[in-house]
Amino acid sequence: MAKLVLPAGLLVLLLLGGPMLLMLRYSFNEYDPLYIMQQAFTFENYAKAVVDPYYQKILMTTITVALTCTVLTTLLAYGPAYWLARMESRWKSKLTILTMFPLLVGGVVRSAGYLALLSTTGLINATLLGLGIISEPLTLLYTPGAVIFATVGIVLPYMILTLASVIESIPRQVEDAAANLGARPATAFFRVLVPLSLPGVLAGASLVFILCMNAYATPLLLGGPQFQMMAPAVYEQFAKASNWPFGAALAFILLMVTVILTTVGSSVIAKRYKAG
Amino acid sequence: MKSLELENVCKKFGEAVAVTDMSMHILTGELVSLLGPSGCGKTTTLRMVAGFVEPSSGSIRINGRDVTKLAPYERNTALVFQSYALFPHMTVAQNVGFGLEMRKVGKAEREEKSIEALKRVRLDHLSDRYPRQLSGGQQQRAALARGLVLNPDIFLLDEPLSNLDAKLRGEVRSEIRGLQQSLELTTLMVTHDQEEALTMSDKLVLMEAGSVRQSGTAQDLYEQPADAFVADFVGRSNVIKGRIEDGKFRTTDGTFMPTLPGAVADAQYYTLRPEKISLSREGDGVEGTLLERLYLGAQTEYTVRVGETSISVVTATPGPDDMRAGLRVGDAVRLAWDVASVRLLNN
Ligand SMILES: Nc1ncnc2c1ncn2[C@@H]1O[C@H](COP(=O)(O)OP(=O)(O)O)[C@@H](O)[C@H]1O
Ligand SMILES: [Mg+2]
Repeated sequence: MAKLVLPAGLLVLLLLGGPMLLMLRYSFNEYDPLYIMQQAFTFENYAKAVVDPYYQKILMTTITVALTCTVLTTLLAYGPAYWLARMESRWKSKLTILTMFPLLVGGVVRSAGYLALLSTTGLINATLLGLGIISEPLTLLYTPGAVIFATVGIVLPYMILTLASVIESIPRQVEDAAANLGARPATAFFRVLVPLSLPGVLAGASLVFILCMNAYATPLLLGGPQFQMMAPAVYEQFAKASNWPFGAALAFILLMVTVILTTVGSSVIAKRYKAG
Repeated sequence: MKSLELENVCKKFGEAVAVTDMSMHILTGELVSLLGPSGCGKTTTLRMVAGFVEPSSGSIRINGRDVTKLAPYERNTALVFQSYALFPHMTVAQNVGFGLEMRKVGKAEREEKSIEALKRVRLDHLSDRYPRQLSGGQQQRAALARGLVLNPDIFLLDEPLSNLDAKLRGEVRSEIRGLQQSLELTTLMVTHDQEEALTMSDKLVLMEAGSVRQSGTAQDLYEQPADAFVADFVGRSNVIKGRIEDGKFRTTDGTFMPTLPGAVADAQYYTLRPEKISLSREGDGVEGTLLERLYLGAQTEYTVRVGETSISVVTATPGPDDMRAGLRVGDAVRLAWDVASVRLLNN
């Protein structure tokens, strides 16, 4: 067995770890306008990113948007996930596949879809104008709201599917037992269903939070020029400014912040709701 | 006084009828068993009483109050689930205290009552354990305590012994019955196991395909079965099809069976309990061939072919000197029985 696992394991390690280590190394190099970078060992790139209010703001925007999206997605997904998990009809598997369907199309394409939905001549404005509910098109696009709206839409299937599989593993009798013992639906939900589905909520929320922290296409297409998030900023450093060391440092800051917030957040929530 | 009444309760799931025209009455301190084969509507009936399934028609009254339309949490019933359904994220004590908490009982009183209930089921020493740390039998006792701590109007047990191993079953059976009697719990129990029902209940309600076939005491059902289904389901019976000819019962393959004079003319089934038949090598009686012999320890079960009919006979296992001890499959045997123990049934 070990003989079979070893080569594959090494390959995976190389594929996953290789670029990361390379990036980490780059982030300590010095920027050189001519040769992109010079071998060095300096914390300057990190210092610059942390001190510069411009990048501070980008990081804060990213965290705020990601947290908002994670909370909204969790709240929106729970109901449908429960409904899907408890469904008994033959539609269940078909609906599950349907939920996965949006994932077959990449985030860029779906962001473009939201563009068509939200623009001044888009579906929403056209409908509202046509019905005479508004007389001037609403500014929906190029707002933080548009980014949050579209991001939630894009990550929702991940959350629904993760939650549904965990809720499905909770015996329905346990919920019935709560009702039989006198718990009203809301009480049964918070005292029994929420703690028991917590692993699913945490797994789904972590996944969604990571996806949102790294959102690229949505902020770029729907946020407008004033709206900045980390992933596009990293891309800008690599592709446009050709400042690889600084781009790598930004990428690592994004990574570290994501990891820290995900682990701290999960353990705080787990502690709070685990006790009966 | 506590009571449970079902009046003409019906339940349809779409087109499928799960329960039809079910009526019954349980009084304070009585244990009534719903007995019947799998899929006959027992659990559905229990769930209607607990409020999880709304009857399609008919009414349910608990202590005289109509609860037909009430939600489960508005009824004071305690359902012990077949799977126990303990809350896995709560300790045994928290599980038992949950219902009291829902009834806004203060913490001190809750703990006192929980421990008292756990003592009743001899589980007080495990009150800090989580359900996954308990054996099946202990989980069940925790589930029982969780119900009885609430002093429910009706105690509902769904197949309480089905998830236990055979050895534990007898023990738990008398434990549940003991608790039920000493606390005078008004109880409705569901089971497909006739032995469980016969030994534990004050009354039985025998169901088949959604409707009640007969209800009464174990003795009523055993000694005066209303029909062939009851005769065979309660305590087993040989049910032989045929009809009355010249005042005697003649099986479909033509054998005449010993019949008391004055048999009802429309009888279609000749029913006879396996333990009422005596088996010998020779002598008087109906002739047959031994088809099978099952050694069950204290008892031995024989299957004997008489004409085209197979008849089961259960006797105490013969001792080594007994003529029957050496019987082999294929041997000729004689069967005899008291004609008075035969019941002729017409459906
Ligand atoms: N929720 C349901 N939807 C559809 N049919 C059901 C449902 N619950 C039970 N039934 C049907 O009703 C009949 C009685 O079921 P049940 O009460 O569980 O039987 P038992 O407990 O006696 O084995 C069965 O045929 C079962 O398939
Ligand atoms: Mg059942």
